[in-house]
Amino acid sequence: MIVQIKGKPEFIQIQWVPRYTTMERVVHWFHTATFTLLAITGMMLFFPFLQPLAQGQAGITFRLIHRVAAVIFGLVPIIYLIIQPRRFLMHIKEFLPKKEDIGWLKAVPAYYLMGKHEAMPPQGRFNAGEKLNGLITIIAWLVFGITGLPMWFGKGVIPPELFRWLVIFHDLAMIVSVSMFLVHFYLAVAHPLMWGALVNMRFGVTSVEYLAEHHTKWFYGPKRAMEIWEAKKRESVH
Amino acid sequence: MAKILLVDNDPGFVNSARQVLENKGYEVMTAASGEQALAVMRKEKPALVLLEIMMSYVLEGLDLLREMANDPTLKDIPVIVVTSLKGTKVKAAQPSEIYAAVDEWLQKPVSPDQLLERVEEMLKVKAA
Repeated sequence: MIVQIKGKPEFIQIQWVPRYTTMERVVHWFHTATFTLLAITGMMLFFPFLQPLAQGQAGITFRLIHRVAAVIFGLVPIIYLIIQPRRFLMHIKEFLPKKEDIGWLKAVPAYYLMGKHEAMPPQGRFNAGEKLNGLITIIAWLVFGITGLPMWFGKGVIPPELFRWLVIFHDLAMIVSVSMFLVHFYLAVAHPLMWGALVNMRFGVTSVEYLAEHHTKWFYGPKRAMEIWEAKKRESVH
Repeated sequence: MAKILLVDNDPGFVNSARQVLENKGYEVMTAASGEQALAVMRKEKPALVLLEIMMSYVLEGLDLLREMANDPTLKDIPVIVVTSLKGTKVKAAQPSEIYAAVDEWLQKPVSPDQLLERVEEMLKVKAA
């Protein structure tokens, strides 16, 4: 992608496009680190076959790590909201599902398993899968907070029946978010089509080629992205 | 004083650039998208356009430049790109690789002095 400077023998080549701000990346990596710690220490307490590892001093240490990580995990989005409220709210708006996301869901097997590019409708700055991951992360964050704080501070104070329900919802949120995390991790780190995803989040920029292939709607705009997709579909038929 | 159209969807940059330009006596108009910018240009005929490329989509500003180039009433309006897109200077390009042409390219962040200097320079060139 090249832009000419009029009247000069000079051209500007656009190779990298800023996709994530420094703040977005800091929030993402803090979230990843604390979530990983929470998931590991949480599973030690959740799975009966791992519980022997969490006895005695080890159990005290795991619980302490779980709580310290939980505080950071809980505070990071709040700090983000305070520092950049407009950007934070923009994310929530971006993650909300739209009717067109059904097209992404339908195309998942053909695109991710068979590599059929023409099956995937044009995607925005976040594709529908990234949006789903973002939405589940926010919901899980809320559920972890609502259930985790009373579990931490209310043991022996709140009724046992209510405590039991809190534990169940805390565990359910863990099961859903860990499953989502594993899919997200695989796609970002190992899936052959998503070659630029990890680079995007490490350096904040993404290549023009990656955007043109994976985030066509955000790159070319909705109208041209649809034209490109229609052309791709026609080509695949012939 | 000259009319300047500021095309950017970042309210923070628009507010600060507008203040810098208005303090120097320029009449500043704003647009937050390529479509809005075209409408303002056709009505107001600005002397200069300051343009962000990345707006609601990455190439929106470049598409605006293409529209301007195809419109005889707009093609001579000078354009300074002021963008967050990272560009690298190269000395040669194949004609098929060239997406659009601009008068000047500035990479954000831009200091008020740098912005004013380029604006004044561009307006002088246009007047000459």
